[in-house]
Amino acid sequence: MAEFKATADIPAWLQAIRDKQKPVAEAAVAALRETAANSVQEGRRDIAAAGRFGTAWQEGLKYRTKGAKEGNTPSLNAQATIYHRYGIAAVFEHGAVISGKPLLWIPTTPGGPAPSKSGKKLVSATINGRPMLFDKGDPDRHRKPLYVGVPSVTIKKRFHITEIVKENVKRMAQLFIKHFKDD
Amino acid sequence: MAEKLSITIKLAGGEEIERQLADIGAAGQKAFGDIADAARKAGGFKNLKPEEVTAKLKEMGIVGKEAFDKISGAVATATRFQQIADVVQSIETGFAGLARGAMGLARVLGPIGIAAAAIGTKVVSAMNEAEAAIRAVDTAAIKAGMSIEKFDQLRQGFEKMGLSAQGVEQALQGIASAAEKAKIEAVTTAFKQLQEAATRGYGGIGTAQLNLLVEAAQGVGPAADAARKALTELGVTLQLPARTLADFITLAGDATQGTAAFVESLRQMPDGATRSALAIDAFKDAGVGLVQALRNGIITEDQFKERLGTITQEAANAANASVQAATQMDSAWERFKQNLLGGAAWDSVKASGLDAWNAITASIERAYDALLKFMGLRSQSPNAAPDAPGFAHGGTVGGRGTGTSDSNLAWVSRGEHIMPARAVRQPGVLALLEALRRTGGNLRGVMDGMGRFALGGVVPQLPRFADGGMVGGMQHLGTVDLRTDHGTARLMASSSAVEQLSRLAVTKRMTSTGKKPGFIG
Repeated sequence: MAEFKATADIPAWLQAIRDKQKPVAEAAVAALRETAANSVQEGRRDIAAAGRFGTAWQEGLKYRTKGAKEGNTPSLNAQATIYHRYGIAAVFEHGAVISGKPLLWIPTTPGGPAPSKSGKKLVSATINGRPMLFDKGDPDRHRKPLYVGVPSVTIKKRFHITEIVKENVKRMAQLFIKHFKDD
Repeated sequence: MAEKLSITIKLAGGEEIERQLADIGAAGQKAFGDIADAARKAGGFKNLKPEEVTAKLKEMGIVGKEAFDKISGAVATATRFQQIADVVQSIETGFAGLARGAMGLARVLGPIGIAAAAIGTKVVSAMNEAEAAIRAVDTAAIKAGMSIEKFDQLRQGFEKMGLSAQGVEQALQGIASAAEKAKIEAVTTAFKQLQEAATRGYGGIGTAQLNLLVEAAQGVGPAADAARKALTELGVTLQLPARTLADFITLAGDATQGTAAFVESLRQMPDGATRSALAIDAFKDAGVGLVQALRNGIITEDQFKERLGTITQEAANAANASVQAATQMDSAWERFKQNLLGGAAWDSVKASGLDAWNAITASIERAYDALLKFMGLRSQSPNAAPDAPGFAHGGTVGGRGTGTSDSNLAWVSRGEHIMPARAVRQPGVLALLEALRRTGGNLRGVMDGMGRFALGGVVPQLPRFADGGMVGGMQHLGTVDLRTDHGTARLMASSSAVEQLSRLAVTKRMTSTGKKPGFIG
């Protein structure tokens, strides 16, 4: 005769839940990757627009993901890190005040080496109350100073990577929907 | 020195995405209402182009403009619509399963199933409404945010879904009522048959009908009331001859008519969908064809029962599928409520729908079981004694009556052989038969065990059983009194041994009385 019963197949149910969760996790991880990639892309443009930062500076901005998979399944605990390979990049991201001990010697030639690496014997003098370093071996009476001594230097914020990432994160749900629909 | 530039984005279980989805959904839902109200004040969506709607909204002030911006943003994300599409898909699956279950059940339930399935077309109709809504919603979901017309289509899709939900709820209740009504009709039919049988003087009520009435009377509702009334009027002492196949064929004829009506109703459905066509074909093949084949004598009763069994399994599968469909619908409605309506109004709809479906399955199961009993396809068939013993391994028939009264029923098989009790009572016959039965008919073995003297020879010392004891290789087939100078002993031996010993005794007596006559060999 006919049987009217609804059986509870727990393993099948669990598998069904996993099957349901998998596309969600896949879409979420894809959204995470795209968010990070977009952040890097926009961040590089931001660095390029900041001034004298060449290709190496621009391409120094990268991202890496971690924990995107647990076993063979995508994980909702994945994370992406956007970073710059130059440690000093954070100075241009946040701005900074750099202090000397007691003075910070600024080269008068842009991009010049630090005084200790100039390869020259230096002599200090204070002109109009401003400490300067001169080449000791230069006999010219009108020699120019090689370094100017200042107590500190304020570097303005040049990069906006954090803001760019935050803006991209706000659009992560849209990316999630896009990838979820694509699946 | 500042820290390195490093910013980490964590999914954290999808928490951020989930929060954003909720925000977008809430904004979209509110804006949905705002924009709809604003559009109505502006003269309706249908009469306006998108840019005109925008202009109208601007004229209406900042609230409308903000609402428009919000809904534009929300619609562009398509968040809600993705969820809507998922929910609608679930509901559509539930509807399809429900319809399949209702149609599959109709295959074997006869008039009861036909009645239930005919009402089940309401479900199919509701499903079609849902499909139309699905198409509208799906289209809107795909092209969400593209135009205000699509937005209006979506709104209409929601409205249609609302109507469909009510329709389904009504359809489920309708099925329950139909099943109850069908059961009343079955009880009423049985009642009339019993009255007619009593009038004709059959002298009693049938077991099957009585079971049907008693079973129905044990329930609740109108059917139970009708059954109790029938029992009161008929009494329980009536007896009725067993139902015959002809009676069932009459019943099946009614089913055929109902089937034709049902098939016709399916054909008249407006959608003409493939699903309906398949259902019609399957129904015709399994239900109408089988009944007609039986009526036309193309298949035998046994073949009919066998095929009915096959369809019964299909019905079981269909019923299970229906329950699963109901479960799916439960989940779908729950999501629908949570995602779209956000209120408790649908709790009552969901509960009443499932309760109705549970009532359907329970009542149809009872009716189906009663129908099988009524058809004699259950063990309670009055054609056979309920406790008739079987003799698959042979043996002596016990019971009551004489050796020729035929007072005891038994299940026997083709090729078996039954001997009259008078023959069995003859000396040695029962033992011989038992020996043959135990040895599986090994006649030579049985005879060897007895000992044979056809060629003469000395009869070995025969065992005595006067005081009882185990019988060895020779069977107790006869007795003979052996008198010797030392006394008399009663021996039990095979018939041939008894015969020879008797002959020896006669010869001895003749020898003792003098010269034997010439006629003694």
